[in-house]
Amino acid sequence: MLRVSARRTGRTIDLRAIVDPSVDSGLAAGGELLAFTDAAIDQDAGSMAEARRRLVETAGEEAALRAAAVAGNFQMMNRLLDAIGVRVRRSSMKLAEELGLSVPDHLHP
Amino acid sequence: MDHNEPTDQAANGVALEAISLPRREAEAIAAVVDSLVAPGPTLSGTRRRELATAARQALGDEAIHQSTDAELRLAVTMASAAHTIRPGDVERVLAAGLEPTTYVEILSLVARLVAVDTVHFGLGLDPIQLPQPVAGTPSGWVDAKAAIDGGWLPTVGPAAPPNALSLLPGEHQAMHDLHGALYLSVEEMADTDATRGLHRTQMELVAARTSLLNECFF
Repeated sequence: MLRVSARRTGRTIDLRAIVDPSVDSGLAAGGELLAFTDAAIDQDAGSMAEARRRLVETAGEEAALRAAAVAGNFQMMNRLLDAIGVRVRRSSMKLAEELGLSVPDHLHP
Repeated sequence: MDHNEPTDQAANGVALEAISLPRREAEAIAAVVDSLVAPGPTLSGTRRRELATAARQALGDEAIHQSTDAELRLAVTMASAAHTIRPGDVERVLAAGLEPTTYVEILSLVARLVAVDTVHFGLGLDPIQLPQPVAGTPSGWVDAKAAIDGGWLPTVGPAAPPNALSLLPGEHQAMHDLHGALYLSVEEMADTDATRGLHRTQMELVAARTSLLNECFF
């Protein structure tokens, strides 16, 4: 969806940022969003507050709220798909290959 | 407790305040919390609360992973290591007597709990306190049309994100309610130019990174 959304709205994005946050995604507040996401998913109390502060400073409170909410939503969705055994889409297989990720056999379409 | 009280201090002494939840998100999270301690389709409110509590301990308590309680171990795995679940694991627990309906119910409550805990943590809010369990009989509300269709558990239609919990209509609706409040509704997802605090591309960046960290490849 990231690539689709970027293409349809005329945005240039470097998807490598998903696997390597040191890469500039090309999106506004991209670095701050990735740092916030990492702290939230890793449950890293030591860095969460600072990551939130940086994101608020860069993109505002509403952005931080939505980042937390989206991270939470995909925490839910990831668990649903993994525990029900939903197979990966072909488009995601292609993206995984581009990013150097290995999809487990049991999830292949 | 006032969730807007500063909960952290930066090294330079500037307060790092928590961000309070707007009404829509707060109501959605409150609905999740209430549902976690109320009777579900197969489990009592007391049991749902026990499993939710265990799921929360999953990250910090190694001993809980060795529990003899199969449902509890499943909840813990779903919370902390869902990406490690394999078809053989599901076959084993079902062969040992766990009903598919209960499996899906445990998944629903654990997945939604992790979601709301993540939101609170990310915003610097106090951890959610689970209320005392609500008495009552499990509803038995199951969709008889559900069948194995591409996944390991029954779904209504081919197993896919929108219908992962469709075996249990109440849990299915609860998931969609939360999904719409935190991210986008299924209908809103068609809008690749949506903006809701973040532009759609920024939301998808967070979603993609979350999924990578959870080793979920969908």
